[in-house]
Amino acid sequence: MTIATIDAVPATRPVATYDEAVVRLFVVAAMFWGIVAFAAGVYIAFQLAFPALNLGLEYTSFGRLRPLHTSAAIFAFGGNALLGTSFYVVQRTCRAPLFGGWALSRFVFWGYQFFIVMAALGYVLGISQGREYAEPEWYVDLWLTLVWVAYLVVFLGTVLTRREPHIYVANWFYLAFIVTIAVLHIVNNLAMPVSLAGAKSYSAASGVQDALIQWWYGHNAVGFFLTAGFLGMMYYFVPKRADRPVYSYRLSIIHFWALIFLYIWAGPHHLHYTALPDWAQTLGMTFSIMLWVPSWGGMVNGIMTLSGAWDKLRTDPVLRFLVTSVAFYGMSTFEGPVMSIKAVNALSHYTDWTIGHVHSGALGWVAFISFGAVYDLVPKLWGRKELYSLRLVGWHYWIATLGIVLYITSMWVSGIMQGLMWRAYDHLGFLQYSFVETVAAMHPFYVIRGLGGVLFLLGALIMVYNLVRTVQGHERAEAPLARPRSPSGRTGALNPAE
Amino acid sequence: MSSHIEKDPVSVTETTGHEWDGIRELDNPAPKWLMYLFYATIVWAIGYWVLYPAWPSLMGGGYTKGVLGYSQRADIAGRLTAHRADQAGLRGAIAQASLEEIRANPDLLSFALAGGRVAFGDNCAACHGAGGAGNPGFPALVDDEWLWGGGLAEIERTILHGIRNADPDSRYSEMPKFGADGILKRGEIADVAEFVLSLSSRATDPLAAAHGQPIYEAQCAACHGATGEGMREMGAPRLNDRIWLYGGSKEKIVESITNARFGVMPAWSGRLDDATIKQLTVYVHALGGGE
Amino acid sequence: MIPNGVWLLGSATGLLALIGLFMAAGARDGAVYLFGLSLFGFGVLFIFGLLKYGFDEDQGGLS
Repeated sequence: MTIATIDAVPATRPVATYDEAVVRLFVVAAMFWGIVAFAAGVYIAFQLAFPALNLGLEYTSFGRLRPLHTSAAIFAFGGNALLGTSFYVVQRTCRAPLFGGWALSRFVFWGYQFFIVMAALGYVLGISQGREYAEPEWYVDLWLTLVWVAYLVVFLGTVLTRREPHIYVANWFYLAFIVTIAVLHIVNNLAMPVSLAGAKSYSAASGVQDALIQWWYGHNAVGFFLTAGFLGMMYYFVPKRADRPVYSYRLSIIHFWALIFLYIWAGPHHLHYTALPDWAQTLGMTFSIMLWVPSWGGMVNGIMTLSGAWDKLRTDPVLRFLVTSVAFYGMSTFEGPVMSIKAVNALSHYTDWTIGHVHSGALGWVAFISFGAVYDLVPKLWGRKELYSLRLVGWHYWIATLGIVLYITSMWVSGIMQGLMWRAYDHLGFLQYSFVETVAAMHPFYVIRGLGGVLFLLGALIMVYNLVRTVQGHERAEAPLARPRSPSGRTGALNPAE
Repeated sequence: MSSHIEKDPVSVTETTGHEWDGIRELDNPAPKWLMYLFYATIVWAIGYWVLYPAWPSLMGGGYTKGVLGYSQRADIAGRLTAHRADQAGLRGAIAQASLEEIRANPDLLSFALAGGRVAFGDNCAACHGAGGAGNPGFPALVDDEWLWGGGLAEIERTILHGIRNADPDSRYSEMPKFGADGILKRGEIADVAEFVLSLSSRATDPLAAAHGQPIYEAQCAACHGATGEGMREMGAPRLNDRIWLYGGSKEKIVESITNARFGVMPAWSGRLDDATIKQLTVYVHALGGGE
Repeated sequence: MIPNGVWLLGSATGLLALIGLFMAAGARDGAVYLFGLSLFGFGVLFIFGLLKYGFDEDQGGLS
């Protein structure tokens, strides 16, 4: 293990060491859980196409493996990527070592892995609160609260002991993510255990209030875990990798505060046309629409940061991952507000369209930005000059992109078809299709979706291989992906001097 | 380091002068088109709040009703009322008419077939298969073989009261477990199975079938008939054709004789209204094999 | 020198491990039993880890 020394520190400032060992742990964990999450997703995708794959066992049934997949993807893969990069970014941009020292950051790491394993065990054994994305029971919730507070102490402590006059925008987003997730987690999991010796608990709220709290949590888990947190990642790795200044400081301020203020209202759009009062549905929908531009602020700032560096996309597939993730982010944050409109939601709600929407965000945005960040980090963290193979990164990029395209297009078609079939009436006023007919009609799309998942998993396995070889210190002899532009602006291939 | 404003050579824009780990920021304003889009969504939201129920009051549990006076509950109630009114005429006529009258009247028949198809998809297809194609253990309804009878009245009774359930009028019969209860020995069961196969000309061991015949006549023929023609009063299936509810291989037949079968169907009289059950009856009757 | 914070964290983890042991002992279902024992195991292993890291640190940093 190596210690990175803060270089170029003026003599008046004390020399400190960055804790990169813990970041390495997080990176390894993120890749491990990523493979678990993608494999579980592929498996349950094929269960939907071929139900016999549930093997007739309770432990491998869709109902138990689905939360395993979602939690592995969001909290285990995404969470480890967020925690790891936040520890890396906050040290560098605050020019300060992690607050609390190596012991506390190790507690955050191992405590978080313990949370993941305990949650996953609960899912497989059938222990669940039945709250989407908040399935773990009270004792696992309490443990996560403990770990999360430790995480907040490390992060906030580092920000407060910074040796920079200002707090970098990535850290605003990371901090918003940490604080809001703490609030959401605690409120949504307020529950009374039947006994301290038993797993079962009962929610503090009930009925429609309980449902609203759940979706206030659920939507802001998307907003603050999967959006704000990963925007923090974006604000460090995009300018860093492109080696360009962030496009607009002012835009980052506007869209940060607008995002924070507006996101927290949008939850009710998950409960359109339910027992939720009309006024709450209206607020959820209108705030979702107003959220469109603040979300796009991050995309605009990310994409515009590339201006003057677009040619790097030809030579650097890692940057391609980062930029494509921002494009997918822009697409999903437009699709989201559209789907929150009640008239659209009447068609899309409860259909596969929602699943497709979630995955264009999860695969296209969350996973791609994490892949880009990890590809950028691994050579730095392990002290290697370059990745083992940039060409393999290119392969990973195209295979994974094709997988996403198969996934989201099949879910658009099947979701919209499903919604239209549900609402089709014949001339006598009877429903045109029974439920089972809609299920049968979706079968081919389920198969296509599964294949998309296989491609995405395959890409991630290529990535793991590439990273393992990088860590081992290998570098593949290969031609660069494309010739860099010559200073005159013409490509080398067209240079008559050759 | 900090607070050193420079010009970025590529975009010729000033930086903010901040720097973190080599990352700088340009002092660009937010793009105009983006801000105008933002303002437009805010104006749209305010307009929507004026038109529709939106803001709760802090006291009293009231909320702004919106100038359109929209209410989701009133909306759905209105649509349901209109829908019921549309169907009321034919639905009422079906409730009044007998099954034969429904079949004779083209308007009622087409309404009953359409409604029966929906009711079948929602309530029956899970066991009897989409379109009544059947599943192992759940009879196909598209053929002309009926366990309990394929006339309109018989089908209606089966739907109303079901089979082998707690309904006092439910259809009921029970086949003895010839093997499990020790009535027949294993060899005897194998012989009977061969004889049963011979009824549809599929026996592989004529000698065993000959041994099985007297046992069949003593134990099975009372319900299934001397030539395996079945008996609807007992819901006893025909055995002399190639239609098998639980599988027609020798193994499956041995299994059926050994442990017997006890297929059940719920009574639908309390769950579906009479008009729906009539529509279902006409629909099932018309699936292919109605008598 | 092992900083005071490490002693504090170690003690707190030890306490949690003890709670885990009590949970497992009083458990009325398999899930809490499994969680309690796992928490105990986590605590013990984490304290061992702290010892190791501590000695590594003492002998010239995280090497």
